Amino acid sequence: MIPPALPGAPESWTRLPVSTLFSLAEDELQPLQLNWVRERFGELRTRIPALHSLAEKQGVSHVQDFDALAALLFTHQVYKSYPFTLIEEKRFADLTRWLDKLTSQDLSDLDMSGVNSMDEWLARLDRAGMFVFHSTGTSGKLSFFPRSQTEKEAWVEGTYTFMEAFTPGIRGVHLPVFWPSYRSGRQAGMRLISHFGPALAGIETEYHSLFDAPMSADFISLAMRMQHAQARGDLKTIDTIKAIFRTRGEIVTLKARKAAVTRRFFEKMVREYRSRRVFLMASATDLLDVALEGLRSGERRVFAPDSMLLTGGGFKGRREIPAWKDILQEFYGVERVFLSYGMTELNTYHPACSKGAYHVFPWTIPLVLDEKGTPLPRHGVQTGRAGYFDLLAQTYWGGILTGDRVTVHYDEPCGCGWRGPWIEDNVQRFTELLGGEDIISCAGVQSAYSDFMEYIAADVPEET
Amino acid sequence: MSNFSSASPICLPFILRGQEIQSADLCHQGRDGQVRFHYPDPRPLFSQIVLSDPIQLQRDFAHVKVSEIIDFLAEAGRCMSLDSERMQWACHFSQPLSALPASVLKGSYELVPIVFSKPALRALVENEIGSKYLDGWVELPYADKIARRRAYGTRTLHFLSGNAPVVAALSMARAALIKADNIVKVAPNDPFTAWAILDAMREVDPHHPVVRHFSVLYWPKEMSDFERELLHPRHLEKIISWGGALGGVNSTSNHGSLQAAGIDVISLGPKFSISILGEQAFRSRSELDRIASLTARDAGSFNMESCGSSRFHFVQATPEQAREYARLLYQHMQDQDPAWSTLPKNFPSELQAELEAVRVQGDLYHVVGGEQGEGAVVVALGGDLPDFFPTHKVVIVLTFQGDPAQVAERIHPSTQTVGIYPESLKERLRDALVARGVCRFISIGHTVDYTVGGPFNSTEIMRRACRWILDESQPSRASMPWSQARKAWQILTHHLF
Repeated sequence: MIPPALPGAPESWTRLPVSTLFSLAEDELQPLQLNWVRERFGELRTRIPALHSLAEKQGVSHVQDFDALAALLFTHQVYKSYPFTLIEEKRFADLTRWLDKLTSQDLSDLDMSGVNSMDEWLARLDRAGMFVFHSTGTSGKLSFFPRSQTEKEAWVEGTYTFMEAFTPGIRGVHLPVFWPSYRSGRQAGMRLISHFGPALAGIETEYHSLFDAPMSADFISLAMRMQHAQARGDLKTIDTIKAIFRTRGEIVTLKARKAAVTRRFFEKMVREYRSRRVFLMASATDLLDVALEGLRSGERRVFAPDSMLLTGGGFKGRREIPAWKDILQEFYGVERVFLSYGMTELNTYHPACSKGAYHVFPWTIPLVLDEKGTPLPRHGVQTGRAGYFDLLAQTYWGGILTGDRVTVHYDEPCGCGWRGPWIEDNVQRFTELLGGEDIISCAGVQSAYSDFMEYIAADVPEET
Repeated sequence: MSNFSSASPICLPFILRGQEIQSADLCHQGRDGQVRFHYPDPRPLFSQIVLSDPIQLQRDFAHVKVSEIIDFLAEAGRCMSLDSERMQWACHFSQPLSALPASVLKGSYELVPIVFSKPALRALVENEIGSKYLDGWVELPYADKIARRRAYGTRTLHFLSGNAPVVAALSMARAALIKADNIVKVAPNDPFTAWAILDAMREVDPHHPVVRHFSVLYWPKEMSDFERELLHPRHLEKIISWGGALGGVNSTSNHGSLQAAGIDVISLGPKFSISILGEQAFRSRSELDRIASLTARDAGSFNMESCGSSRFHFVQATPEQAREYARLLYQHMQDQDPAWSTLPKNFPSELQAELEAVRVQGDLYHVVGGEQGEGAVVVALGGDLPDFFPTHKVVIVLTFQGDPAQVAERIHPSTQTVGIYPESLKERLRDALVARGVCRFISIGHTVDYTVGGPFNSTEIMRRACRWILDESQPSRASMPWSQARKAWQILTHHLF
């Protein structure tokens, strides 16, 4: 009998050396991965009501092949399909019932009495053994990904391995950590830094965040609530929001303070940690703003060359500056800018190799679908909508369908030495690709509806 | 008339004050990057587009009565049937651009000559404004002076919406009847209808004052310099903007600042419609089926591309009754006259994803259909609204129990038409719904039967599109006795009869 290419269960693969993980070709990975998908499906199908419902509808009782898997992917809408009124009316027991349909954990006995906010709700779920990640809700409403403690260890180890891909030996090293945002929280990036800030720094005082406060899910969602209430002329809800106005006041002052706080944060970084090896993680735009400012004031090569500078996330609607990586290297003094591509729905990010290609760890299965949702062959080079299956998911369903357009190379090596599937550095959101076409209608179409809501929201006077 | 060939590239001709401009200077691309149509560059044509001397409008219409305009438009209307080559051409080339499927688009084009029929034109002008105000001065009953008012057409820019061709027809008929000077910017999802209508008028009489004061053209919203120059009080008095007054998607201008600069912006939409069914609807299976067949008409009309299409149905029912209603509603919506409802075109994948997301939450929602992009009915079993906007023949059914008055609390201010069953409930809810923004009440099943000449979106468009002028004069001493006798008679008749 041929021994399996990777031993044990996928969650244990996260401890394997990067060289082992990226030593397998697609044809070696596929049978192994398919077996584990079947295992997960068999385990979870009857225990996750939403998966059960989807499988029934699709007529899938056995994941015969990857095409069958492609019919079992959840879109991001699944994780935010709760009615927003549940949040507005603080019906957290109902929200829990909604979440219960997405996890194999039994939440039916959880007592939500006295829960008054999303933060409290998430805290109570944490205490019950859940490990829910929420999105930043750029579209307004937060998504909730029902992870549990079961996934936590693999998430930690997988993330360490992801960093090992850039900096071998990082598991045993402690570095001062700089993080230009909230100190902690339950949004994906915040979950990551809540754990890795102190863990990488070794000591709490060497973990430097821009703000001391945790990020609040309620803060983020507040703007959306205001829009909803204003658009409906719903005075009752506006009153409710005013009652929690203290929160909004904090946001307003936080926004006003941000410039000064940011300046102090980076001054401290440059002054007290000059030439030291540090860990710095932030969005490309944040890093670049500071770098350009720093270079203008004559600062350059601030940190030790082997510092770890990790970024990703694109330019979010801003125009990409051509030589941005050079600018970052020049200012921060790092040898390499480490790039990654990932999403809240996946436990680990895809690291970019020396050739700039995003490599997919064996516990993540990349699928490419065409416009109609038909899976494309899992060989050669395929461009289309990205779907993934995350084998690290053990208590929720790991199959997701993204809105990203990707080009996946299944069996042709990228040249960096790593094997397995890789994704080209040209990921685009379909929504960005499509842009806004000026279709004009007297019927209340979605975009006009949103414009209207924005307009109304913008009309709300800032209270002080 | 132009020579229509179906050879690509398709060209949108401009008609500027009776003159047709054919030129493929610029192209409009769809979101897939494909060229959809070519059109002339409007910038060098600027002086032709605007009416630089506003007195010309009064001069040209000085001796033209509304009845003559009706005669002219009705004659042109006979050239607007789908028998004519130009309408066939416009309908044919609109198909890839329109959100309406071919049969519904054709059905909509068949409405164009109806709008331009004499009865409809008369109803429009007499119900909305009264032709006497357009043809001359109408005296007000005052004892001490002679006060007269009159409605003047203005220099008007129309931003049309492209969801249904009838929008162009109604806009252009109204504009012609009030003797206005009109610049029509067509929408890229319906660029040809307005051209075809004006071309039909041109065929009847290219020198008619209506034609001399009508232009149809297109420019992209990115052409902001052109637009800034055009949207100036020097050139315009009114803007009638379909699709909203927020600058919307058809313009980069801020309409609020235009209003401040003295241009009156008449904003129409965007709106959507709803239905409210009281418990009486659920008395028997056969009654529910009859009601569902009617609300299905309201929901499916123009494949839900119309502001009058009913998207949210509030039902005073148990979840079980609502499921049954959804099933019947869905069935009726799948079996409708292809002239106004058929399989939706390009069902959006985002909406599909929303449907699938709620489908797996069986305790909260019950989804009927939606498997093949044919539309669906989503029942919110607990009455909690899902957070997506229903389009493409997707209806959301919301249950409620207790007093129907509570529905008023949940009405969005962009609600246009409300179909209510039973009729008695309409009277009870009407004022509360008006307070929430509702513009129109109907008996269920009749959203498409819009009353010609009625107010639209709470606005008397034709009245608002005119400038209302007051002429006051004090009678001279010599004419006093006669004048006073006349006044006495006038006041008497005004107040007594």
